[in-house]
Amino acid sequence: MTQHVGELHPPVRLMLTPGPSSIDPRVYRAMATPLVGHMDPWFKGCMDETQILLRHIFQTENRITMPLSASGSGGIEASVLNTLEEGDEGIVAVNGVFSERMYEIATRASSKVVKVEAPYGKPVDAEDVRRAGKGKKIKIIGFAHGETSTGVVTGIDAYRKVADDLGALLIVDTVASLAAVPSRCGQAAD
Amino acid sequence: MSPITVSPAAEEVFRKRKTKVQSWYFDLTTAMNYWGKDRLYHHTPPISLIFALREAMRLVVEEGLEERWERHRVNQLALIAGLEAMGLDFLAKNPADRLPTVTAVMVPSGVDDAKVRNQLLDEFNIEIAGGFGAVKGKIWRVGLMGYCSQKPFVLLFWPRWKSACSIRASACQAVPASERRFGVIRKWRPLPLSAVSQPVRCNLCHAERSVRRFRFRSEGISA
Repeated sequence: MTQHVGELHPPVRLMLTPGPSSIDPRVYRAMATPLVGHMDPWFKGCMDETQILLRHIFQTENRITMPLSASGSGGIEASVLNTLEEGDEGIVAVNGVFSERMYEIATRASSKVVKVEAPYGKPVDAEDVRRAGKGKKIKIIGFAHGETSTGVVTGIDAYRKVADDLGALLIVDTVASLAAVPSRCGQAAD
Repeated sequence: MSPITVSPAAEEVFRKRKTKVQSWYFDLTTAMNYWGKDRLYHHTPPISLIFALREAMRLVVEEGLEERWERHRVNQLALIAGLEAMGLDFLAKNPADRLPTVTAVMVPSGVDDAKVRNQLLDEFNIEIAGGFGAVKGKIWRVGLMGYCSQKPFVLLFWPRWKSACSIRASACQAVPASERRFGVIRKWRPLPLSAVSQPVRCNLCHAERSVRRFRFRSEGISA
């Protein structure tokens, strides 16, 4: 090795961004605690605790509630790929980069997914989604609760109703809103 | 980590699949074999990040979900009041459409988006985000998320912003506008920066030491 690589000393930034954002010192402390194995009996208890907390944060009793080892985009990918099969019809409400990404992922799972768009800065009207799904066998309706790229929030309740009426599952991206903006997934989302 | 929850109705859809999920890694049914009662090996997860998530969620529980929603709402209103006082406009024109965690501000004509962000970063160690996709160069995005959604952070932002941003018109109005906004909302509990001394157990040698550390406290909420 010809070049000296020094110890890590990142600058101390105040991260007023849509993520990553500065974190509480207690979280840094937790990350600096000793590692245990992923099959360690003690860690199994720690996983239980993590899931109890997750269910509280999501306000749900859902059995499948876990942290995926991935960024938020991985979460979107998981929710779309697990529900859609080729030939399934779906609608994604697109009003920014991240909901566009959900649409892009969904088209890779099924060629019959369509998008309903709104200009950046506005939410997609749930009634537009209803119109797009009328008379079709819609399997999923997806949208970003908080669209990080435009700073727009989309109300869940209207979408819940449209999804129920169309017999579709609802996929909600809450990466920018979980535990910060009201959302009760127990009643709200699939 | 990406928290995810799946309703019984969606779980039923997983069970009825005719084809395998295209992604092995993101197959939630097999991933749940590890997170379910069997704890069967799926992939090796990043343990330290699970610790971090657990602690972050403990913070949420201590504060309370509803209190947290309110904090994000109120702090954004104070940020918006300051930006409005500077004469700035927002991408989301309808206040009801604004996401409390991310405020998208229009870059005024004649102002160099990247130059302002770089100056904030280089001189003041404050990072805000630009726009991307269709709104690249047209908006700034200011995030007040989780720990960053604090009154002191909103207020310390203004003098730096004024210095970095060449918008001269009423930039100094942002501070009082923001402060007024904080003042008028009675539910707001200030978060004073307090230095507290408390014993901390060393994770390696297990000795108890008194460590002086800084933390933010919310009134009426026991940490």
